[in-house]
Amino acid sequence: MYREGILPSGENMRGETRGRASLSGAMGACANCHRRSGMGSFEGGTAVRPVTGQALYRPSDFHGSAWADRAAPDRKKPWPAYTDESLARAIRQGIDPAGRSLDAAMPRYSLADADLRRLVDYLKSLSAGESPGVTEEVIRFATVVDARVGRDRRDAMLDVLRAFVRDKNAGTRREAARARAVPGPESRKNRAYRKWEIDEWEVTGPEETWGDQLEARYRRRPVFALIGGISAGGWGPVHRFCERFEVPCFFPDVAAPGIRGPGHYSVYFSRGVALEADALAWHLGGDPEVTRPLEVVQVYRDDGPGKAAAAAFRESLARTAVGSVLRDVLLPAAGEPPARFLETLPEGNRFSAAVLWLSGSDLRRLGEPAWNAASPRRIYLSSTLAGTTAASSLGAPTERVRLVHPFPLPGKEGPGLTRIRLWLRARNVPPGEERVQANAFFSVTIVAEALDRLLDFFSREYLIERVEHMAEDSVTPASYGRLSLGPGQRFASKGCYILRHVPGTGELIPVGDWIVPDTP
Amino acid sequence: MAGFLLLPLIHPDARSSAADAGGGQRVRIAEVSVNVPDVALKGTDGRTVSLRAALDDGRPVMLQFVFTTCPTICPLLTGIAARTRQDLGKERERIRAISITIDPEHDTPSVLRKYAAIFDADPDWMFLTGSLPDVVAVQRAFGAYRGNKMNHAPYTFLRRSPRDPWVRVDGIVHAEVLEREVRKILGTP
Repeated sequence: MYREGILPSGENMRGETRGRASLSGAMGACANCHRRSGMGSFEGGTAVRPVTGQALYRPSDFHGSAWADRAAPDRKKPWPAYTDESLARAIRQGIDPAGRSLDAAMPRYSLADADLRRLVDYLKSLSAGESPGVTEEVIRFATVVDARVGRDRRDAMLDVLRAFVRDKNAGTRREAARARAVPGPESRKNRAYRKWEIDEWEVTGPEETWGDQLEARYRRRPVFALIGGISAGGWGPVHRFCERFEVPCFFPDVAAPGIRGPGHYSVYFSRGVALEADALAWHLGGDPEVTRPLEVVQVYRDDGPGKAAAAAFRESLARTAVGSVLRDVLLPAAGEPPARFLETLPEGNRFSAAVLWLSGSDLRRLGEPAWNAASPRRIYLSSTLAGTTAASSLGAPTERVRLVHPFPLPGKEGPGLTRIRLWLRARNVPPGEERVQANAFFSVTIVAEALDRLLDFFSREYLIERVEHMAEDSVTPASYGRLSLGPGQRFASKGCYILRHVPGTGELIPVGDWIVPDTP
Repeated sequence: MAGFLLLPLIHPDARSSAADAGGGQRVRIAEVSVNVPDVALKGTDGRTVSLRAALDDGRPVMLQFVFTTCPTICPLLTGIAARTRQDLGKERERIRAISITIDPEHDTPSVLRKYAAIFDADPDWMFLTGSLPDVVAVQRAFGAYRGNKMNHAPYTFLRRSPRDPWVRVDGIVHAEVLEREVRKILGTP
């Protein structure tokens, strides 16, 4: 009932506001406004008050959340604590314990007694549990590092996280001591202070074994949330671990989250190569230069990103009805690709585009493949996997090469990157893989900012809700252009450019506008 | 910010109906001047729609800005619009309704199609999306742009014809208040 708006009978829960808007099912679910945490929200002048048992069964001047005071329509007339009876009246008739009407936004629900009792019991238990990873002194996080990731990228991420934590913990102004010295609601900010620790969880061996490795580490020393993280292949096991143990994971640096739809606990920069694949199919569908039927050969590694890209592309291309994938060339997950592997492609003009879901180093090993005068007419590369400079090593005429690029236009990265460069320099962090550093900085910064809003109410659900709310406002010191989330949204960047080379120069310019593929 | 033709006034009717509703809810109704930008948006079928042409199809128009993952305001705004259209019965064909998403990169045509279905939107009610710059330009023209979509204001805009000013209804309005405003525009009390 609370989360989905579905009654125990299986029917939709129905509510109607005083303004006669009727809302049923998910639209009328309590969690829609009051959120999964029960901590409420504040949106466009409408304050939605917290409905956790802890907040309801105390008078309204109890500072249950950062918004408790804003949620009271008139602070001079606080209402007394709810009782089971007055709560029932509020839910059914929209009357508060002081006899006043609730806000016009609050629907009234006609619930049977038994359903109402269940709902009230749920509210009492809401966000009342413990907060794993949080003690009186320490809040513990972890970051997951795939052991296969090269040293440059791995250090780039870890250096940023370590520097941030060093900074954060050095910035204490004796909050813990002050919290003890000054009791009462005014000291909530001091009581909220915790020393930060970020454990580094390295996962090794086959990805299928990661789940057990993560579980063992988590059981040994639980963490409140995962920050950042980096993988050279898939990420599915980490995603599933987070869903299972309800551990939030904020903005790992991965090419493929390895999932089709969003989960609840993991928040990503984007859908990674699957987004690139959808955007490319979308672009091909609308490209007037494409001859139909378009026939495509795609080449990919038998690993997480390769398979995710290829599957998404095949499906998306079929949907656009411009053509289909004629052939898949699958390379082994690891090891060097066979020399001149493109020569195994069909001869002649049977296909008009090649999509290479390959890294820069794989592309450099292509040597001088049999690019003939007419075919393939276009060669598409992934900017996430190959970077932006790999085209030159391809041996093919660069006017045929297009880059699928889910980042800002080259040279237009904006002030975010300048900010991170300055931040790193001030902390003596050596410059490294810039995209990785920028992404790590964004992950850890937004978690810290969101955590500040929680005060001493350490709820994972509330943390996710704050990040959802804040992503759009943050100056993005990540390698992405614009990051935006909303309730339930788990992929912050949603589009791509297709880039081409300006002949005779190294310059890359967009073909058409930023593409946001509509993937049903 | 679009210039106001009149200072925002507390509409006497709205105030009395708000008092009926109780709870200190106030609905402010004001005339606003809007210069609609000439942008091409997309409907739920993915086809391009000229916003100006959609607004000037000869009928009065009711317009809202929403986004589908909005926790609080949009389900209510859309729900009240839905109830109003339902209560208008056959009359609703005489007024075009347009909901424009302020989160266009998430609310693609297919996402809006599902959202419209939740509210049983009738065929004269369009849901539009577009590029982010275009959608921001439209919000700015209506004085409704707030930066972060989570800070958006609960506005409903009404207009009798392209020659008439826009009327901005500000607040989570009662369906009957909205219906009364719509009937004034339709000339069918």
